Amino acid sequence: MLPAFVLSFAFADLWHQYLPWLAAGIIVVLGLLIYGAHDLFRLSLTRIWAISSVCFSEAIRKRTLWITPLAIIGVIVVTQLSHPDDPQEAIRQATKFCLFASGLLVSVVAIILACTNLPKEIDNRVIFTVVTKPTTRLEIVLGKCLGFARISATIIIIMGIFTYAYLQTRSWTEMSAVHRQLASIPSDSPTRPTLVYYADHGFLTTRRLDAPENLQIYGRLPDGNVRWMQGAQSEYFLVPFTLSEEQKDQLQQVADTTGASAYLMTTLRIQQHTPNATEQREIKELGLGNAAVELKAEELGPVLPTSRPTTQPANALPPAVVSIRLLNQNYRSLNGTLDESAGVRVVLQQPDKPGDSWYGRLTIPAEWLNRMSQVPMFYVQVHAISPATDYGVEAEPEMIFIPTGKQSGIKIGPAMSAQDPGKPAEPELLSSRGARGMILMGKADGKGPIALYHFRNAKISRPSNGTVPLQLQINIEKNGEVDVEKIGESGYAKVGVQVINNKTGESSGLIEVTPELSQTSFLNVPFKSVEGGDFDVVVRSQTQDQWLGLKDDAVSVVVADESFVVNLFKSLLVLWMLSILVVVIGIFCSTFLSWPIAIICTLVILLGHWGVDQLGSALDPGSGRSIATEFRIYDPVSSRTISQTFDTLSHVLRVVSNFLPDLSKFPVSDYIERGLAVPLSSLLQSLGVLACYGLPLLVLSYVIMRNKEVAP
Amino acid sequence: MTQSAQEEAVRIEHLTKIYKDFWGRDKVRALDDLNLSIRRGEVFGLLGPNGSGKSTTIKLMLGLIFPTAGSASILGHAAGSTEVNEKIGFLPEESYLYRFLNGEETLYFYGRLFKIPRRDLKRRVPMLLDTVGLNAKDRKRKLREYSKGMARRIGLAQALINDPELILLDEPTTGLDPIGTREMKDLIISLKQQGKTVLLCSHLLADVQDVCDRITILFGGRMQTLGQVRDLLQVRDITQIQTRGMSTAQIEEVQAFLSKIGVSDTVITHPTTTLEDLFMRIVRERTGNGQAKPPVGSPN
Repeated sequence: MLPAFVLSFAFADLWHQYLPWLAAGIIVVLGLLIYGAHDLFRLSLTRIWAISSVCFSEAIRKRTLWITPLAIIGVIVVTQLSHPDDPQEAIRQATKFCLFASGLLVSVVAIILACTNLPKEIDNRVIFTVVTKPTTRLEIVLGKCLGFARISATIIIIMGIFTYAYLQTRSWTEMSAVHRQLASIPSDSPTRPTLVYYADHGFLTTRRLDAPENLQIYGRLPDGNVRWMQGAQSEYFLVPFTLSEEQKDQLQQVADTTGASAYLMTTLRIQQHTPNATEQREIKELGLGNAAVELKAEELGPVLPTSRPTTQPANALPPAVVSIRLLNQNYRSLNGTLDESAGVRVVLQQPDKPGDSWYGRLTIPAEWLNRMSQVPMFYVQVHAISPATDYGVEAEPEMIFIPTGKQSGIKIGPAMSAQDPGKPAEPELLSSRGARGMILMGKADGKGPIALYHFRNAKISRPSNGTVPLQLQINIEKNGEVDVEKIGESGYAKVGVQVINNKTGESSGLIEVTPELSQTSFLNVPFKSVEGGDFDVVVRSQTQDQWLGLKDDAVSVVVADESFVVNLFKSLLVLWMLSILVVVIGIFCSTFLSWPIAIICTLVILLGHWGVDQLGSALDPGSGRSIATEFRIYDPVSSRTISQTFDTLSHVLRVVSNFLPDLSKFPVSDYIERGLAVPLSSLLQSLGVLACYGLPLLVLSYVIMRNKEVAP
Repeated sequence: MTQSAQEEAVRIEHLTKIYKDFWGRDKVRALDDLNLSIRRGEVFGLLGPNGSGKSTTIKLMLGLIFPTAGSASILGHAAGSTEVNEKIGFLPEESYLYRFLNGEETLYFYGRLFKIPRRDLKRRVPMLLDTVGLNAKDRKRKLREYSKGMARRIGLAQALINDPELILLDEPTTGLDPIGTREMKDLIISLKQQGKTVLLCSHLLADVQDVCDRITILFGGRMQTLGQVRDLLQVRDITQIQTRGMSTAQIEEVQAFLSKIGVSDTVITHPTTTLEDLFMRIVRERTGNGQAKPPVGSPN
């Protein structure tokens, strides 16, 4: 049986996710099925089509379409002025410009037409001769929407035909350049595989990719149930906690009771080796030289049974130290004023029996207890600090313990797994994030940490040539400290890729690739290594001090090719759905506002969600406190006022943005510019947003129009 | 439906309209407690100076605005309902039509709003355009190129596209030349002969006098008078005798007789025609055969 707190949290999540749908449903049912049942019953497609035809004719005769040639000329000029190095990048940019121009054009036209039509018809009283005919206000609203949707479709068709023709022309040009380049470069050139892939598949291809289920950063390949992290390599693991109300009360009680304590128990396996010169330096830099005596007693926590001496000889193994932070559900620090960034260090205690797990115990500060009991969920983040040390992570490495005087006390374990609710969630092993993804540090001997992309149930059909292409988008995070002389004549960073079939154990062997910044490269691996769809792709940086930036989808497997025309059609279909949403919002605003204000209101509704998203973590709870600190307001009352005001405003903004459409759900160019097939799920998602916001706004427009005096 | 409801084309009870300002405070009382009944088949005139409440009454009857109090029912249904709109035709005071459409397209569009089959429209649209006097060349021109008179004609055609039972004409002769005005009046009489009910709203008294069976005069949003045109215009304390071809001597003899029987303030003159009649006579003479163009709406 699931604990009640898990259910309540899940319900809260569902409530948050489906709230717009619920609101939409209520509006549609009340507005259309109850209030407008009579008009719904009388709905006539003939009248709707007639009204839409007038809107269409008006736009055409007012020469709205004359703006399309301007957009086309703009696209051609911009693409001719840009000179990307990579031919695929040139096609991508051209695709992006074409779709951007189409989207901009159709959106601007839709906004202007939809926002101005109704107010102008009311203003010049043309509406008199329409509403005095047997047309319902519902038919007028629907007719106008359909009319402007037809205009959008016309523009999109024109721009779509241009896009295809233009990209086809560019593709021929670029392919000629690729063939010339292939004839001129040596056979072992690192760029040859990618060029060969282009020559074989062309540029106007659409790949259907299977993405990995997850990405984890390990110190080395897993050893049974133990997954390893390397110390001092920016690696950490996350353990999620979701507390019940009862557990929150227990923690709050500890926080409020003088003398009471709660502990965060850490259990890890530790393997250490004698530090080399670099690691010795790092140990000193980290202040772990004589750590056992230098660390404060408080950080050691309550004394546990241990055989470790309290002082260490010089050049001995460093203490196994971890750094612990609390993060909220958005991965922002919950540590509060204690320590925003570094966390609290805990020295793990060596067990009496060799081979057993090491233990650490942190007395949870009262401020943490307060925060734990206030948030719906939180993560315990544990960084591996000590050099020359490998940290082995098993199930449930973190646990909250409250002594009660009885032998067992109260133990609070991690949240339940989303995939398998009967088991606790597995810790996620990750590394610090840089500008281009998670950081993977490199070592020349290939013994640095590894990134493991885990694929499950990838649907890969047997290829005729026995190999399957992998698509890699590995970024160079940092190479400023790299001595080009040392990393090879060409100066390229080396990355080792290995595919291991989890069912058969077949391995592709180590394949060396040379990634380039912001470029896609392709790699063929034996089908046997991916057969069955359950496999891991292991990525490691082979170059000393070379940091790679890895995103969750940096490695994917090409499972099929699709027609570019079909993919372009799907992208334009998404754009059309977006334009219909724009039209509906425009018409809705124009039913109660003058046209200039309606245009502004439409833009706010369209861009509101995106704008709040752009503010990102600046609106997280607690940001108000940071602002008060940044402005050096030390007066407690003023600081609290500013903090609370900002937090309230942030909360209001977030709530309002939840009711506004998310335009990122309309991926017009996101897929096609990367050469990826627009998935059906993406089309359905766009349709879902259109329905969720378009239908209720249509109904509201109808309700407003029905109660509106159209005579000025 | 009761018998009185069957006989009534329009029934207005306590109809009141108060325009409010932004804050919801009363600004103008445009119509105040109007009670009115228009019988089926009559031509009813709604008279009054500017701002008297004529257009407000029409707008309320069409559902363009909503009453503050009272109600209006048209042909047995609530004013503004689609059931009513199926059976009425409306010519607004100016031709508020889509200016980018041509005459034919305009009528096709409004015909489709009545769900008139395209086959029927192909027959009906040219007939209506002929009726209102738009020639083949004009009906292909965009409405924005139309003169005011032509715009009134196409406006009238759209009001008749559904062969309505009740026609509301708001200032129908505005912008028309005298011939057009006469044609319009002839059309109204023709519609009455076809059994249609016509509500005529105008401040041109001569127009109303010529065609209306009954009139009401509004002023300051209130009804001032209501009745048959003939009854309302009758001056009961003056007697008028009309005859043809009396000589001056005979006139003097009649005056002497009237004086003898004690009738004072006698005026005997030659009657004058109306300017409109004079204009029409001259135009007829110039167009030859003594016949002007057939009036709009007259049966062929």
